[in-house]
Amino acid sequence: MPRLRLGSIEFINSLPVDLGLGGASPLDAEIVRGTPSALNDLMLAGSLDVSAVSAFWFARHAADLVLLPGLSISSESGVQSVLLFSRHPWKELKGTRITVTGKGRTTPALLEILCRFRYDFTPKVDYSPSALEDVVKGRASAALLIGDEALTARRRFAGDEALRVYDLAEEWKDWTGLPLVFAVWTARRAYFNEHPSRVREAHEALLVSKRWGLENPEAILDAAEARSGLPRETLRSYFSGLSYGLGEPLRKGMLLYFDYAKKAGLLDRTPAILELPTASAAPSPAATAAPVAGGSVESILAKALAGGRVTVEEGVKLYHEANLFELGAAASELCLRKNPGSDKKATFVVDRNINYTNICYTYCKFCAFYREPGDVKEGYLRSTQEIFDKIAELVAIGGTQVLLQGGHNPQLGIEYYEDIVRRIRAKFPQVHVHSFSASETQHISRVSKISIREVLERLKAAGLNSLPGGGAEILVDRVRQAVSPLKTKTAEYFEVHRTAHELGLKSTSTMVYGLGETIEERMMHLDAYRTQQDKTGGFRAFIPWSFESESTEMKMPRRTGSEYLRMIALCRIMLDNIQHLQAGWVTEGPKLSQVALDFGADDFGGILMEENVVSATKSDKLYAGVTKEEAIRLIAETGKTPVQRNTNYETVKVHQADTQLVAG
Amino acid sequence: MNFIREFKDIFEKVKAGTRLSREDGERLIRSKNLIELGAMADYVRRRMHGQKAHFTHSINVNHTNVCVLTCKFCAWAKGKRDHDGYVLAADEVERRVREAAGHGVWEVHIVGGLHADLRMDYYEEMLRRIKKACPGVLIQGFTAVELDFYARLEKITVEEVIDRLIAAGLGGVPGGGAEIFAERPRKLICESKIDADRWLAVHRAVHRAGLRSNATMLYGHLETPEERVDHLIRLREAQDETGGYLAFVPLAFQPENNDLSYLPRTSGVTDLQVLATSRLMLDNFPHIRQLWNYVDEKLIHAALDFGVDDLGGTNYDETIAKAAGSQEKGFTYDELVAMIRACGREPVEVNSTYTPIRKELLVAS
Repeated sequence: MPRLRLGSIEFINSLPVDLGLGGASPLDAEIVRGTPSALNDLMLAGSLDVSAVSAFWFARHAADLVLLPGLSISSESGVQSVLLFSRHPWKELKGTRITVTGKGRTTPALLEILCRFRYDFTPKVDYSPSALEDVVKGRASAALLIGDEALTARRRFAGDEALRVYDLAEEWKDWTGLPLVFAVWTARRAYFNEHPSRVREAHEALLVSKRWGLENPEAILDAAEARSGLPRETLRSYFSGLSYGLGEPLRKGMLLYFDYAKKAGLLDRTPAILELPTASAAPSPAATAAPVAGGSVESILAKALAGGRVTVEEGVKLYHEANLFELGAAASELCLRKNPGSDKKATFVVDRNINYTNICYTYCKFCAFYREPGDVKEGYLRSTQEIFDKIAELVAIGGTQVLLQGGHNPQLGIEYYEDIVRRIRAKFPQVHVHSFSASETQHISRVSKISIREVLERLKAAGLNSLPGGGAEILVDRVRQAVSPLKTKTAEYFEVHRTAHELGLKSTSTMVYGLGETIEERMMHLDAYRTQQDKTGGFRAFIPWSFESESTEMKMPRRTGSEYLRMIALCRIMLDNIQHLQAGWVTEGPKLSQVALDFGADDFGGILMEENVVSATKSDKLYAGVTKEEAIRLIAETGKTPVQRNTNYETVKVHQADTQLVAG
Repeated sequence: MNFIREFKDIFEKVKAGTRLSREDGERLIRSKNLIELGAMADYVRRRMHGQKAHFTHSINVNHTNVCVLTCKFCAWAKGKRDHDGYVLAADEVERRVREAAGHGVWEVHIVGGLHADLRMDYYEEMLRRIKKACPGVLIQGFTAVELDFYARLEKITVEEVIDRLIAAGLGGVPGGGAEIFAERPRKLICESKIDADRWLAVHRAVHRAGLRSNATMLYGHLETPEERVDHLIRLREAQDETGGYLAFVPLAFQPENNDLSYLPRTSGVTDLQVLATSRLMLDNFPHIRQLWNYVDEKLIHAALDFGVDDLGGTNYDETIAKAAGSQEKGFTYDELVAMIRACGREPVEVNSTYTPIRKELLVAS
């Protein structure tokens, strides 16, 4: 079967849709670049199968084409690249010669429509390959330029008082109040009838590429700069005026334009548009072959890559049926889109966990850290000085984050927490206090008999920077009832995080799997976070761990490294609205956490200068803390640049690894 | 597998069963594209072995730690005059094997230093005693380096050494001592050891005598990625000639207590990269083995996804990797079986010739 032939507009305005093709968005196709009018002709000749075409040309040939939804090159207001350079005010162009280049069909039609219906005259239009020169040399009174040529000309004549510049998209917007669609993506109907799945594939690839393009504006600007030679700021402003979807009101603007074109006699009839059915819409041969609800692994992953949300059931299916590498490929692709550059770098934070108390009355079965209230032998409450000493050690090695984490000590109320946060912030203003999980917050609220909101408001006022996501385990109450009956329930956990987000405190999200939950319950956990994130958006990162059961009351089989890679990938695929995903070395070991950076994780987490809770399981399968230097080396060994970040994911330092010591 | 892009051409070859070239190997070993490497290696592993993961229930006997060589990566060997050098008497070896066989162990793996005072009769006696005590136990012993040393010591051919040891009960030869074949790094890490040609020649002799053997590669020290590929290609060519190799066993360099301690441990990425590349390049080796005592436990699980079909032995009493800082604590038989099952594989217990043994024959009454 011959490869699909895809037409791509050679102007920079098409880059946000096209640039990702072949790279961020794989597609087996022969890509042909040309001006819109060249592509129109190639489609007509059957030399292309799928292509971007002028909107106007599409209207003319709609009977032979299928419109691909969700894609266009449009202008919401001014477009800056469809310009009429005129020696006279528009109204006075009546009866004079206007030249246009032969590069598109939409804009000459638009020019005609504007002249006829807005300015009430029928223009005298000539095609000329040197339209602008005609105006400069006085051979014409106005020239219509489009694309990169228009952008360049505007700069060239920026100071020329004698030359008026009209932006046609602005004219259209002023007149109709609607945006203007210049180009749309279409497939030849004959080709679609024969190869519906290939058209669908190309459509999906274009959507994926577009999504990548919109998420990576700097990459688009780089390419545009290289191609056009225009200054970056000009380009930035240019792209900001363009949109690439095809929803309302873009579609409305397009249809109105077709109406006027018909009125002007440019179209014989109002086009009957056939749109490529989207997976959820009307049945097409391809859609019925792969209904999304019970879809194949391939279709679920394709959906995820096209920006669709993977359901709990689909997540379960992926867990059980997808090839590990298929999952990993999709996850690392999604990771790269969420975190541009994550294929070349990985971040880590220099932090310290400080366990201020181990006294706790919550008695979770999976915990080996707590001591009961009244345990005078092993129970402790650290003094402020002890806490300060530990933070001073952290600061000495360039650390930026402290995580206070403790038991639910019935002696400690809001005043204790306010005081310790305030004193830490006063003494170490450079340190970010990322502290107090939901269950600790809830505990404070109970002890001090104040609302969660008041707890968080007061802690924030005292200087708390953000909240860790600990204590989530599995956010499904059946599981929580079984393993930690006295601990925060799901709704309560989210109440704390929601309230924090509402108050402007960011937080992280976590999971401990391997507690006897089902795979469906793991996916429900991810879905619960995702739903909350849609509402409040305050989760910065997600951190999954596998459960270590030694020295706890729960004996559970150890989860495998293979399962961890699968989970990392699935977390990345499911959590479409949480930016960062951490690989953990405490339970998985440094070697596997290195590998996790290739399976969807973009962050190596913290060096955890002091970690007592997981270590209390006394599992000989745990790994001793990594030092800052080790974290740098471990990341560098994966071929990525180690970047020290702070809690806000801002760069603290880019480390250059000593590659001499990296064993390749 | 439509996500395979960087190695699309190589994957076409893999699917068609076409041999990969040196250039292909160099691209693979230099790539950080673990996803594609792993996917291809996993594809090959599935095609060859389905869901089976092999292991042996074995005891390691390191009969002496005294060695005339001074390999820089070795943290275990002692000189003859060191107070902590030892030699196990045949009685002690027999006792250990008998005890292990009583626990269902059916393979003995014998590897030791090059001790100038131990002669052929010592080895023949050791093998005879083991076979007499436990006739069903397979003895896999003596690396090519040791066999070559005995021949030179006795001033006989290596063929004769091999014949005599077979007559005494030897059932297979391990893959140790290969280290890295390329002369440049080999000189740097183990100058006094036999060279690549000699190592390969000894294995050729082993195969001609009717025994099967394995081959190792020590990586993560001073070798280049290209030199790893060179090692694989020399093995592939040797295997074309005799067909006597069963498992390829890559060994991650362990950097503690030795002359190369300034080097870091290998990364998880490198370990998996080497395994996957080995599976893809060594199209004529039936098995790729990952020893549990050379990498983190969770990485072993992942190794099973990167081309590995064999986890080696339970190897209790192993001392060599431990001396160089291996932090892994080892598995009991049940733990190894449970781990393989947890990884979704079917545990298949074999000996080093990959044939089952009737357990009732293990210990002589």
